[in-house]
Amino acid sequence: MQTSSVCPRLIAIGTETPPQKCTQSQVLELFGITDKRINKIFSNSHIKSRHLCLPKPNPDGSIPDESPGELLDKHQRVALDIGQSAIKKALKKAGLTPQDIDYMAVVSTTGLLCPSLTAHYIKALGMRPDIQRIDIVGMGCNGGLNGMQPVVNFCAVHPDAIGLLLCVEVCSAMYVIDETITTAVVNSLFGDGAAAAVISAKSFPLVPTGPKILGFTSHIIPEAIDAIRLDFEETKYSLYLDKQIPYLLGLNVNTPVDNLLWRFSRKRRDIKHWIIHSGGRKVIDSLKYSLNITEHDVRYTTSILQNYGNLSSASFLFSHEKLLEEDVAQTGDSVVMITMGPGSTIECCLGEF
Amino acid sequence: MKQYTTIKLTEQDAIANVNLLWPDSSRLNLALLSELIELMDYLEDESACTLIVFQGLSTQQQSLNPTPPDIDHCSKWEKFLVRLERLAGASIACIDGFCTRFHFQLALACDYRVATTRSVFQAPEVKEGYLPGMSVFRLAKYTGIGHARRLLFTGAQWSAAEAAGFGIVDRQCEATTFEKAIQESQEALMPIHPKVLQNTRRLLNESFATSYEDAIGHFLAVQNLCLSKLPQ
Repeated sequence: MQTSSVCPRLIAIGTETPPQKCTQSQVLELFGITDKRINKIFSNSHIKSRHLCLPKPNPDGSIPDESPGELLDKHQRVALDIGQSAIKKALKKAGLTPQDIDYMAVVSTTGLLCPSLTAHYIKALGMRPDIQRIDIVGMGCNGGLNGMQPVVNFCAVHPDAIGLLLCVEVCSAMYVIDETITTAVVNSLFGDGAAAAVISAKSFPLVPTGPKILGFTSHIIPEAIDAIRLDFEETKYSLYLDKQIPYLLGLNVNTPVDNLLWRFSRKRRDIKHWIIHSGGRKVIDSLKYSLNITEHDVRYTTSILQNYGNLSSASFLFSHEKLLEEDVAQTGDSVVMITMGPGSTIECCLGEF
Repeated sequence: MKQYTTIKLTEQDAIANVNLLWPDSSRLNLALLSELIELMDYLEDESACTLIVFQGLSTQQQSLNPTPPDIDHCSKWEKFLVRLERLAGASIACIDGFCTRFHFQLALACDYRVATTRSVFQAPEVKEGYLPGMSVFRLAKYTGIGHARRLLFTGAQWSAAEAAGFGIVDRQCEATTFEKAIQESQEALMPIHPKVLQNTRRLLNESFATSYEDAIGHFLAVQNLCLSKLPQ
């Protein structure tokens, strides 16, 4: 928990996706899926398109099966590619270079590498050898806020430091194809993307910065530990999503949100901006009605889901970038960020512009 | 409890009675708006009441040439109305007399309207060159667009019986039985499940602009919240 009186600020966000973009019907066509039940799941997902790194089709148009080794290679290759691009965009907005970074956290769940992604980025971007770093692996969609906490804490303790958070997910490097509805739901939902955020307590007078980060709350639901999980099936990881998870999150989300607001003497009505993980239409609906917030309040969340799918840990930063681009936040406005994922867990963060 | 100057608040059991003490239904001012916001803060944060009963909604405007409202006042007024519409609880507007302008706008934002047969309604603002607040958004949902257009374009007055026919008035009574009718209206809404009512109202309002495919998801999200609160 960040308790220092120094409040680091979100300075700038950069995002990147792979170039290949697919509509839902194109994905079904590429994989030769004709099952009407699966078609319905794809068409009801409220997703128009996603960026996915899919292998070059065979001469007959079908997608070749990818081995576990090929999927891991793809994770590393794409993560380094889009991750570096997102970092460069964020640094450019902040007027910084890779050598300015003192602390770096990289969040990813779509592949396990050793050496980890931070080491690869440091080498590729020529960052300083004394940079401090942490890799957060396997926390899933909520991991972005878990990754933001150590960056904020570092910057609070070192007010002159520059911190960097990178959430990079290559969801097309972790999938299976089978006939089950559970797999169809997963395959209809996720997309590839990377989002980087520069965080610092330093002043950036020439940059239209984001909110200062006031604090975080977590709420884990141990009885639902199996509701979102990775299963290892034969040779590949397969994501399982319990169909009750949207409703479970709706029933629990008020607890961490209200605890966070209470700590900072704020009411729900004081929150001007809501940045919520684009977990899926049912998840968004469930949180929207449980928190009694409007469709306008979740416009960034909905827009990211429609145009990128669920980007796992990177989703909330994509939404946050939209908020900053819209340039509607006024000094003093409060923003709540919410991410949800395996555990099952809900992570919250309060910021103030 | 806070002492108000533009309203009188009394609470009994689960009912908050709010009597408007405005001298003029056509004028907003910062004192009045501040107290309405403070009232909503109190009802949301501290009060155990689940039903708000508004009275004093039938005061004639004093000026024959009412001044158009300040745009900042309009914004604050609409924020008050939308908070009332999003409250976890129910609201009743009690009308006995001439209900117009901001009183009429407040009555439309309530969940239920009880009016004496001698009551008269009017929304004259369009004839005066400006809008009757977000009544332009709410009125047609009760009356249909044809009636709403005529009522707003002509600025005509209409009776309680006509208002009941348009779906604006939920219960009519003689002036002599007004208190009894209010009491029966309150009983008709009891028992109140605040969150259920809040979400039911929201889904009903959204039903005008939501596809079935979206609405079914909204319904399931809300129904899950409702069912989780029921005793097992």
